[in-house]
Parts: sequence; C-alpha cells; structure tokens
Amino acid sequence: MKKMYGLIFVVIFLFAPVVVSAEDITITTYYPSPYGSYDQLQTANNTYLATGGGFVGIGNTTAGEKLDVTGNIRATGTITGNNVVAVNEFIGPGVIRQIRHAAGTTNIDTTSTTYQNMAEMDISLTTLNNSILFILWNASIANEDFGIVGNKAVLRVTVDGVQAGTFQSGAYTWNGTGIFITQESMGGNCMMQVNAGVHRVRLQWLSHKGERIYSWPTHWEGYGRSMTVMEIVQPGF
Amino acid sequence: MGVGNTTAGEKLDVTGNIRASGMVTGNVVRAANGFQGRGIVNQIMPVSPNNNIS
Repeated sequence: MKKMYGLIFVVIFLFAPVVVSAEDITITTYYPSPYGSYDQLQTANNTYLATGGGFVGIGNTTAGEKLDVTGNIRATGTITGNNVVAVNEFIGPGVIRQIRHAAGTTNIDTTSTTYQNMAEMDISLTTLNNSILFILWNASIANEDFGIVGNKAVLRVTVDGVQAGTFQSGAYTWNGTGIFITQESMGGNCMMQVNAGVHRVRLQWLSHKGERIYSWPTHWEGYGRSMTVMEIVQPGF
Repeated sequence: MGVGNTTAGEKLDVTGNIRASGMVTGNVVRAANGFQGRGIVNQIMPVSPNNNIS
C-alpha cells in the first residue's frame, strides 16, 4: 500500500503543470493555443493579438474595432493614425480652442480724448494656461463734417485692461474746398499670451482733438465695428 | 493593460509609439507636445515694431 501511494505521488509530480507559486502559472503549451479567462497575463517579448481576425477589447468584451478600449489611452511616444478623430475636442498645442466674435449693432459716439470702451466690443473668454489670444478687429469711424482740422479717431485693443499690439488712428483728408473726407477705416490684429482663467478683450476708442466721432453700424455708409478673438493652445497648457 | 511596461496607470498605457493604419477615435484627444496634421496652427509669430520709420 505504501508503494502505491509513492507511485501516485510521483505520477502527480511529473505530469502536473509547473507551479511557480500559488497563483502564477507558466504555460508551456504551444498547441492547441491556450484560451480562457486570465486574471493577469504578462509577455516578455513580441505579442500579437487577433492575427487571424476578430477584435481586441480592453476593458470590455464587446470590441467593435481592431483595438477597442473602454477607458483612457496613454502613450509616452507618438500616436499616428490615418485619421485621428475627437468626438468632443482636441486639447494640445496648435489647436484653435475657441473663436469668439462681437459686432456692434447700436450707433454710438464719443468726444472723449481718453480711451473709452466701445459698446458691444467686449469679449470674455476662459482660457487654458499659456494660450495665445489672436485678435482681429476693424472699425469704420465717422467724424463730424466741417469739424476740427486734423481730428482723428484712435482705436486700440486691450486684454484685461492692458493694451495689446499697437493703437491705430484713421486718416482724414482735405479736399481743397473746405470739406473734410471724414470716414476713417481702421483694422488691426494683435496677440497676447495669457494664463489660465477668464480674460476680457475690449476694443477702445478716443477722439484725438475732442471732436465728436461716430460708430454707426446702421448708417447707410456702414460705419460698423467688429472684433474676433481666437484662443490657440500652446505648450504647457 | 501595459505595453512596454508593467506599471500601467491607464486602461491602455503604452511606453512608446502607437500606430494605426485606420482611424483613431477618442472622446477627448490630448497631446502634451503638439498635434501635427491638417487644420493645426503650429506656429504664430507676431511682429510689432516699436521704431518709427518713414
């Protein structure tokens, strides 16, 4: 009977799979391919999945693409695809994250010789850190006919109260008969790098010599005003 | 699942590059350094001289 137990022990020892520890199994079988549900699987070299068709699901058992991940993907290197699609948004340097536009619809005027905010030319936007605000604006300003010689409108853009880029003034001309050509068309572009948070972009104007100047978008000659702000994401966002 | 590592912190965490012959789709796609491809503004260089010229 003792010999019988000894024989059974030897048989079990020889034919049992190699047991590394209580829960780790090293599979040495090449054919047929092992399948099943594994708690953890680790390979030390090239690994090829679904080479004969089918899909690979991570975090799911309902893969509908060759690699179908329920959850996040992170790569230390480069991700290259024929097309890379974001259902909601791209976030990263080079992306135009938002475009905001303002256009004046009401007729306004001023005689102020210091900068005043132009009504409706006021854009607030929340940005990421280090973003560049790229600002485009234009305005057509009218002076009073037979007004002060040499008067000009001066316009500038501010971001959080700080002038962005250079200010601009329009041109007036004297036609030699006592009448000034009084329409001043101005436009500009500028940019400013900002920290994360809410920022306020405004178009401001003043009258150089205090003569009344007008922004009249409803006038048939079209003294309109508009401004566009783009946020372009930068490294360190 | 870790690829090229045993310290995965995301559902798929790859140390190295990922390449797909087809389309890559995500809800939000984020690039720490930058995107390359059509539609991306990779450089914007302002010039605002302060010198008066004539």
